[in-house]
Amino acid sequence: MAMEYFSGVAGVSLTFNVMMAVAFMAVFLLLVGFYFNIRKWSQGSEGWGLDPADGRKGNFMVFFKTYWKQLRSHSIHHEQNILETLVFDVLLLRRTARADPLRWFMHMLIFIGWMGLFSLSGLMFAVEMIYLVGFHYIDPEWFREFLQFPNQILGYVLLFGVIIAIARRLFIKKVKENTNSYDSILIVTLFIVVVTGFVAHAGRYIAFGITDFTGVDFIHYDYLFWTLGGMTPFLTYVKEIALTHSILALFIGFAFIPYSKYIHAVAAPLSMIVNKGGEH
Amino acid sequence: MARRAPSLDIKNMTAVQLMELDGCMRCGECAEWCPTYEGSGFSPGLSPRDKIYRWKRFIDKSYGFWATLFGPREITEEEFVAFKDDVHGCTTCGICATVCEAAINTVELWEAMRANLVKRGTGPYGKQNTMPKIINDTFNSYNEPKDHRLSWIPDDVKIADKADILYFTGCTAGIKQTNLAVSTARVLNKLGVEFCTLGEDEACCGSVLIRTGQFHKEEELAKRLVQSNVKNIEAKGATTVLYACSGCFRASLVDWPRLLGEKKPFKVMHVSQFLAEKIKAGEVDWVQKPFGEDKLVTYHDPCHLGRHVGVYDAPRKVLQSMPGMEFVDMKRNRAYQRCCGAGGGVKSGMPELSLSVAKLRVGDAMSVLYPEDEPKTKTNIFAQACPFCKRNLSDGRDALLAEENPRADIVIEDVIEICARALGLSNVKD
Ligand code: SF4
Ligand code: SF4
Ligand code: SF4
Repeated sequence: MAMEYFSGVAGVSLTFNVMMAVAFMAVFLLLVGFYFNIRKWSQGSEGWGLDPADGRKGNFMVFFKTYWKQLRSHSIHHEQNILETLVFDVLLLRRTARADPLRWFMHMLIFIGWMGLFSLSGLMFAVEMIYLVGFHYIDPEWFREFLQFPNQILGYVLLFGVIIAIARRLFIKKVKENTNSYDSILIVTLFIVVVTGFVAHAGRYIAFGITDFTGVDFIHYDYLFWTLGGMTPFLTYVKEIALTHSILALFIGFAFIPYSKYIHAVAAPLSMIVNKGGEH
Repeated sequence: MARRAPSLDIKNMTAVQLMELDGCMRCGECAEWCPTYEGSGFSPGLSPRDKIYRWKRFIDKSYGFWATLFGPREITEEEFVAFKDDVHGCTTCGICATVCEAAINTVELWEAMRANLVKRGTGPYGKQNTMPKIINDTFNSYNEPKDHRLSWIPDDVKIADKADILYFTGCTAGIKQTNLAVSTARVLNKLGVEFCTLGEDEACCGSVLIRTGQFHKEEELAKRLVQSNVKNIEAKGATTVLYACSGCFRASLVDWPRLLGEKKPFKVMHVSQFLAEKIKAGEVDWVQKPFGEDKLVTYHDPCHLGRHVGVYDAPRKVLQSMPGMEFVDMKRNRAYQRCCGAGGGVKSGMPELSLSVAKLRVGDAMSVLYPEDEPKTKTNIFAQACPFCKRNLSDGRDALLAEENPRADIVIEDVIEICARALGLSNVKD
């Protein structure tokens, strides 16, 4: 019997091998993307006012060496310690908070939602792997159930953030005028991943046999909303929708990072750290 | 088919700077503050966000994923020229770096882009390309004979041949805006501070070459200037070098060590820092109200003294210590100050843009020196600590006066010139 796949789309028997192949492909694409980015950054020189050294263009070490050198050099502005930068500037987005509280709120929601879901998926994957190699300490099925609630909450956090982002781009004139395809691809793809995630999740209620929607509760509304009132296709194609979501999440929310504006999620923190929190 | 060569050769840009381009989240906060973007009536190309994005596209087209796999895509000469014009419409004021949500060191990016374009033959802007030759020939940026560097010195000023303290005059104060040099020298004399200068041997600090991306020209001219200055300062036996020009001060503090590749063997201070220390030590006795009557004074932080190197308090302390001076800050002050519009070669390259920014800054001062709802009873004071700021702010004031704006009637003076007044000294040569 094909191994059941639990991560992400639990309860729906996608074969483990299919998901593994897709996951590895996504990781491969991610690594290739980072390879090309670091290679691009390494076309630069190793210090202020210099030209790239002959024969070193594109050599990976150029980037890492230059970064390390700058990180260790004295800054005329301040020597903010790295921990303070990590906590206040990278994790709490202090620089954004100073500028625009709404944008900060939106960013935090997306950041917490995305990072949370990403981490929980990673955790689920780890539990599954541990189980697979023969250590039966945690039952993946139980663990998957345990994650349902936090996953759902984080999904809504992310969704709310994405909705604010879309609304800003649509309704705030200045933001709208300055939006280009580089910006919109990011938001639209994120929106698609989140929505398919909710639809897949709602379909699961039925697939799992949770049909007793008595009482006015969250699950009831959640189910009705994401299946458009329980429309048949959402229930018939639970498995396909779940598979689509998993693939989109892996490719868009993960593998796409180095090829798109998502790269800022890596490059901006690196910039904050190397510039010691920036000028002020 | 042979691959085309990349249109852009990565010169003068560090690996970290290339990464910073990818860190921009296009939040637009920089554009909210950029003085030239606002001063131009929001010309899209001048927005810092736009410049970062366009340069990122240039890099991606030349060295990105698709370029590596399928060959670089062409960037037309028109695109380069348009970019060059836009990247020079920047005073290097640095507020975009201060507010950048990704903490990108934008000023260094602009300067690196300028140098890159100069190296590929697209830059600099307009007549800026005459500067390296002029400075190479005369060692100053005003094309004056070397001995004109001494013509500012009044007979009453005593300058030692060698001293522990050296006053680095700078081309602007030494040749054009000599009131600043005269005031500085007289104030130091009055306070009993023995000082020397480099006299005819002083060379341009290199700032104009660095800011316009031309420091490598004329066989590494900027580096040669710095080497000459450092050697001569050492020969004078000075351990502290004072600057009254913010541009020179910034250059010697930040750029000189980088050009030399080593630390300077002396300490550098802006003269306002030096005076603030003297005031704190109780060594300064003001003898009169600088303007004979009580005045309201506000202070413009020169970008190259404030944001670039973090000197905010000293000039304020000096002003606040004087009799008859009530200090008030403008709404935009310190790190969030609005640039005067002169720096980065904008004053010489794009005088209209520079003037429109200056008018905005004078407007900031007007709103605190003469609040709308109060009658104007006297002429108040707008202080700064940089000869470029003084010049451009004065032009902005004059333009507003010419537009019949009576509230623009403001005295614009350097902190050190005001100090000279408070010590009963004249700030003109004769
Ligand atoms: S340095 Fe100042 S003038 Fe230049 S782009 Fe930034 S904000 Fe604008
Ligand atoms: S403030 Fe920084 S991150 Fe935001 S658009 Fe400007 S350069 Fe990009
Ligand atoms: S002249 Fe003064 S305000 Fe203007 S750019 Fe230079 S330092 Fe800044």
